[in-house]
Amino acid sequence: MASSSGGTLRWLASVDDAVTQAKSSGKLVLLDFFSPT
Amino acid sequence: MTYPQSFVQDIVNDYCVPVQVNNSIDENKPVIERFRHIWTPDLRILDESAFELYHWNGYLPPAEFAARLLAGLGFARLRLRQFGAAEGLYADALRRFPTTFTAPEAQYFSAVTGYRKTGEANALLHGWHELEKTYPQSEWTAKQNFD
Repeated sequence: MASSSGGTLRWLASVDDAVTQAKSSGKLVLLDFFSPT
Repeated sequence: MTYPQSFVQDIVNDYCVPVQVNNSIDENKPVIERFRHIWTPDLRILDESAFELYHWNGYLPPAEFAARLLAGLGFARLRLRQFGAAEGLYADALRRFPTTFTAPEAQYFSAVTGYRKTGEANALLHGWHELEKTYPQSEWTAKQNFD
């Protein structure tokens, strides 16, 4: 999954920020650990 | 390339708040340690308290990724006892991606969801019969055979 080009996905860089958004949206957090190489 | 596919993006956008963590950056060490991250690709589905509800490692091509994500989201909703949401996610996974590696798992837990939702053993037995009939060689078929 490290090959993400962004597309129309708006990736956050902070788990805490994602959790905050999940609380307000009712969605679940998708956490992707990636290596840039 | 998985994420550029629009059908993958649609599932992510519909159901998830996506967050990426670069495991080569020093400032990310705390979150790497917090989640005991060890190998990429490493995907987690978390609830709103950052509790991990589903996890998988390894690259998947787009259709396999989409099916895995739908089934993972279904399992997450099942663990949260949100049975209606789980039911819908599993149905979507099975309708759209019935030949993927994940499909037998989706069929297995779809049946579990029906049982947890209704308390009716027939929901479980019918779903597991379908599992055995449709995916006879699956690990999940072996797991439901408790004779």
